[in-house]
Amino acid sequence: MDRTRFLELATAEVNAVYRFALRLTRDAHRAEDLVQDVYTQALRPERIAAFEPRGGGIRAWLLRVTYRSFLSMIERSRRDGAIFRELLDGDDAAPEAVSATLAADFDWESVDGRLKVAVAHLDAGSREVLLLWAVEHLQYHEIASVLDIPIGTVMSRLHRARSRVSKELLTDPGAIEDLGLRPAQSPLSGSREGKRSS
Amino acid sequence: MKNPDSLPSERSRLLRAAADDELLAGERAALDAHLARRPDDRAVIEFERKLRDGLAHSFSGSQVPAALEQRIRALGAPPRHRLLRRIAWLAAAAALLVAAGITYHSATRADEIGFYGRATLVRFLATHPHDCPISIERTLAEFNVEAYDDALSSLGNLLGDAPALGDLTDAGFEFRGMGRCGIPGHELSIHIQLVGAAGSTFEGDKLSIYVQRDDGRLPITDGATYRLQPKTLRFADVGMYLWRREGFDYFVVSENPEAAIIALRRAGAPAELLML
Repeated sequence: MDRTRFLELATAEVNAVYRFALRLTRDAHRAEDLVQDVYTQALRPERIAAFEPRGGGIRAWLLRVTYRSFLSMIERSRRDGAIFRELLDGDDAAPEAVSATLAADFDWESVDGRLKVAVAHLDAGSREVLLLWAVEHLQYHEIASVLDIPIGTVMSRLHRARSRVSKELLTDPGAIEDLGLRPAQSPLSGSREGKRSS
Repeated sequence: MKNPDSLPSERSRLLRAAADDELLAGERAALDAHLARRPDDRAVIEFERKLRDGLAHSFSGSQVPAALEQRIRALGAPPRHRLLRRIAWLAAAAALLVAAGITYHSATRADEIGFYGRATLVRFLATHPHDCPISIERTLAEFNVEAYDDALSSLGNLLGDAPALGDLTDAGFEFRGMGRCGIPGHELSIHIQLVGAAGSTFEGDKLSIYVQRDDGRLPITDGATYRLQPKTLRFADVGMYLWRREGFDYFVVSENPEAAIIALRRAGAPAELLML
């Protein structure tokens, strides 16, 4: 791909990369370092020349680089010990386990209250898939590529996440009104589905 | 046994795939047939789309800081422009050097340290000298070393070659000990700790020297000393410098700026100073 075009496309995704980095690192400074590291890697001439949007477009590609860089940092931090002790929180630092720490002290202040609560109740794996799908508008196969998991896992996690969020929202009439939903528009939450399945 | 919530029925899989524009080949006909039987399910598809929009709206608030975005764009600038900009900065820094009549001058640098780099490295260098359990007794037991000269000699055995590090003890520093540590991203670094001698202007202040084999991961080049600039006020007063020479990375850290500068000179750090 032409460098100018690549740069144009890549820099247009900087907010998505930053959001993802912020969710992964839970620290603004580390997120900035991660984003800068990602773009330093991405903008190397050899990377641009070899760029192949495997598993999606440039956004998915950048998010995959972000996730890999984050995992590399975690791996290094295992050796370095104390540096990221607070990040690991004593967890095993497998991809899902790392994300599991998000719920504890992620800054949810700017998030709508009801969705915030519903999403916070999700398990880490489902939450990350849900946010990549909803916020970054990734397709199933792109999410699979970013997180390096099978597409079937993406679909089951997404299904679980949507069902649980829907279920929580439906217990709150205010949420239905806020989202512009009518009660008759029942979502595919797990508990109702069995009764309605055709 | 799997959680039933994780196993979508064919109905939910079809409706959600429709809402997400993820229908597989041939599924459009199946969807149309389903909706013909269950027209109310169109509302379910709409709900799923609205839910996605609601989540996107609620969770997309974080915007990249303007300064970071500028740095990202600078990274993508054509190499020639970056070179010219760097030359311009160096020229400006050289002019400052002449005007001020000082030894060191500064310039800016568009490069960056890798992710675990700046924030992590700053935190490590700023806190490790206080956290590490260095003492003469431990140093003697572990390395059979009890003086600075002996410490320099032992570096050759520990690192596979003898790094070039000047004498600091005749500049008002006393040897406190040495130890193995891992500067983030490196397997082995050697930490030599000194303290300002009684009667010196930096009496009691700690000075830490780290030496490690260079593996090319730090964005620095031979011939210049780099000042690592903390982004947070917490570590703003800590002097952190590094340089590379003949296959080794050297770090000098002290909370006393004067002690750090004197140590740089005595240790043989390059006179040109760049900001990192």
